[in-house]
Amino acid sequence: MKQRLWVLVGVGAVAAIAVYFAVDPAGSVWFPKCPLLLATGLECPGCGSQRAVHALLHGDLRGAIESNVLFVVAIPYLLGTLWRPKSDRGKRVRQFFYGAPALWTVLGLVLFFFVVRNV
Amino acid sequence: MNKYFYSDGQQSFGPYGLEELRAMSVVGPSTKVWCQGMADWADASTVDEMGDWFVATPPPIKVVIQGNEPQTIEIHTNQSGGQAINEQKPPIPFSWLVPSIIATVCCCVPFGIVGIVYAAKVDTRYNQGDYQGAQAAADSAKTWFWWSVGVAGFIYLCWIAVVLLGVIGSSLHYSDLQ
Repeated sequence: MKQRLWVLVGVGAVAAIAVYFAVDPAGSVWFPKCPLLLATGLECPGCGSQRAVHALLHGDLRGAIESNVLFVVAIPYLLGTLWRPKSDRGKRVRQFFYGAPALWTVLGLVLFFFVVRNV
Repeated sequence: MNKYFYSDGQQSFGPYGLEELRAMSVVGPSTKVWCQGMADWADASTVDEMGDWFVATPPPIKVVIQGNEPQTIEIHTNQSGGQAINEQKPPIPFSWLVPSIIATVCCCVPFGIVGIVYAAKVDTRYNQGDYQGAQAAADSAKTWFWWSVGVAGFIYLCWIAVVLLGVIGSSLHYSDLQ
């Protein structure tokens, strides 16, 4: 059951990557739009992520950062959670990046980004 | 000198003399004991004659052996009568941090943010030894994540419906003109 779920997730991810590579989400009506942006004109912290994916898949790091820098920064941060250190030192490093204080900082950064990108 | 019985919770054993019982290393601070004159079974640590058996037990010593991989071995002091209490530390529950952050940067900011808050709580509570609380926070994070998926899917379906209506509407419009 769990294995099948992972296969499904994998197939979905590959399909999504193919779609986001082939089509520019900024120029297509079929991609989901941010309801907040449509309703208020305010960009939420997630706005631009689809364009960022498209830009990254075409090797355009600068374009991705301009679309949504938070999304670009989040990728290595999320990949870092896969690291499961065994040594005490490694565990301390992991705790520094993913412990409660770090997560409150992440939360603060998200809200800060929300404000800054709309000023 | 009093002769004591002790119980493992199901059976009682004894009677044994005080020193004899201590030498057997079967009585811990919370082991039930009884001797003649006592109204009921009582924790060994509350019995005057045994009280000092447990006070003198020092806390566990941590010894780090340097090898290829540092290894921590816990040595529990097992004084005569003192019971080594080996509390099981459950693994930290999955905090749903990754799904929450993905939800935040991809679709559902409010839900994702709540998820991050709960992920932080998982870590805080776990490190305080509140394992049940940590699990509860993890469960909440999970719930919020799946709600975000549901809401995002619903909004996307609504959007597609609007687009389709627009496509159909505009095609009708143009065919009317022809």
